[in-house]
Amino acid sequence: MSQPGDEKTQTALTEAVLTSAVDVSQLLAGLEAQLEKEKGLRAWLRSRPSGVRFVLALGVACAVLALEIARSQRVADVLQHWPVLAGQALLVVSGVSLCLRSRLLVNRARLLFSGFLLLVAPFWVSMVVGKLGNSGHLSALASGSGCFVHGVLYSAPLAVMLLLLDRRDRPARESLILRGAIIGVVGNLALIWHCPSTDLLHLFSGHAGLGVGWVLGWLLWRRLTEKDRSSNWIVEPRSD
Amino acid sequence: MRSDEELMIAYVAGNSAAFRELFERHAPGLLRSMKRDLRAQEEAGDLVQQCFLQLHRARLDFDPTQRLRPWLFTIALNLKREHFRRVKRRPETSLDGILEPQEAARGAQRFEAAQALARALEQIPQQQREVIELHWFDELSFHEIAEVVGATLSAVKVRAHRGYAKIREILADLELGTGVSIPVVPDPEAPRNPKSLADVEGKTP
Repeated sequence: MSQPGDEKTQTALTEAVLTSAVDVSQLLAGLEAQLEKEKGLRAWLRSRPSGVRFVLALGVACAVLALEIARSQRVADVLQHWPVLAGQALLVVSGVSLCLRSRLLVNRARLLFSGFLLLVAPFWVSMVVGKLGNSGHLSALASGSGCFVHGVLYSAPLAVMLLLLDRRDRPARESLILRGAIIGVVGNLALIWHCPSTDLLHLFSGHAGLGVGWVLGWLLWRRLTEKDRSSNWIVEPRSD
Repeated sequence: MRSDEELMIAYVAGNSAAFRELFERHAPGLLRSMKRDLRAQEEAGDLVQQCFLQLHRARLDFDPTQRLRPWLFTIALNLKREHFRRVKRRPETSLDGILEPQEAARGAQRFEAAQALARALEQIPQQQREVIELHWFDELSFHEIAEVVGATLSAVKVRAHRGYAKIREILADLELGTGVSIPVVPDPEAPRNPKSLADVEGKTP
């Protein structure tokens, strides 16, 4: 603790505070420079009202699913299990809403819980389908690389859209986990209509690895981009 | 003088001067708030800029029936929390956010009191600390704080009450308890005491 009359300390404190006024004008200049760069598709998309962003994200997911349903040969068979599909779709809707919410304080526990629900949804489905007696083969849960690649392709449009719609440059880890889980379930739902397998257990749950893959992918992306972002922000160099 | 909400409406309508005015009005307070917790001054400035960048991106979500200030502090708190998670450390209270310019020049007694207060703030739980900082230093009402942290009014008051009690206890242990005037909660409408150090002058042992 400083001694009374410590001139050096007082001078340092005074100087530190007197620079505040200068700081604010520098910050404003830096911010205005950054705002100038806020142009293009991404800037336009993420500045839309939250309701519009929500509709856009779900619109992309619905478009992918509609395309697959239109191309599918076994719509009637799959639709017999509509409660399972509806349950997953509801989880996706609530997940997207939570993911794009920006007005409230980030509730990490809630994000993580929703992400977890979406990640385990296909496994929960497997229990339901198992009870229905449509499959007796646990091997049906193993997903082939073909399924995975197709799933990634089907879910990629939603992944891109969610990335474009996110207003944060540094999303929280939990937010990325939820995002990956949502994309995984949408990919899973699309594959149900496309996959050549006729085993229901495989169709409903065999593609669960897709969500895990997306989660890991986003976390890796966050780690790789973190270093770039840590040093390039917009504090203007001090004039002194 | 136009209110924050009027300025924000003007900005949403395309008046960039209104945004500048909002920045000049709130950036110094936010900067002080950031500097209180971040030792690195450039990081504090970075977070203030990000805060207004987020406000710009979310401008079409602005609801004219809601107050702007709590929203701004919500964005700031989100950014601050994310920052500390990224750097994997707890907030450390710095004197920059506590001392006012004229106070800094006034003497070592205030400096000592500010140091003690900074240490006390570091020792209380994060939830209580956030509420106390918003109430005491940023001068937000309990209603506004409840909006910022997304908790009920009573939960916020409980956090404030416990936090202030803990600070009082810590300062008493440091023999500064009688020198620092700490707001008394639970009276929600009690006049706030935003600048604690104004009460310390001449009283610090």
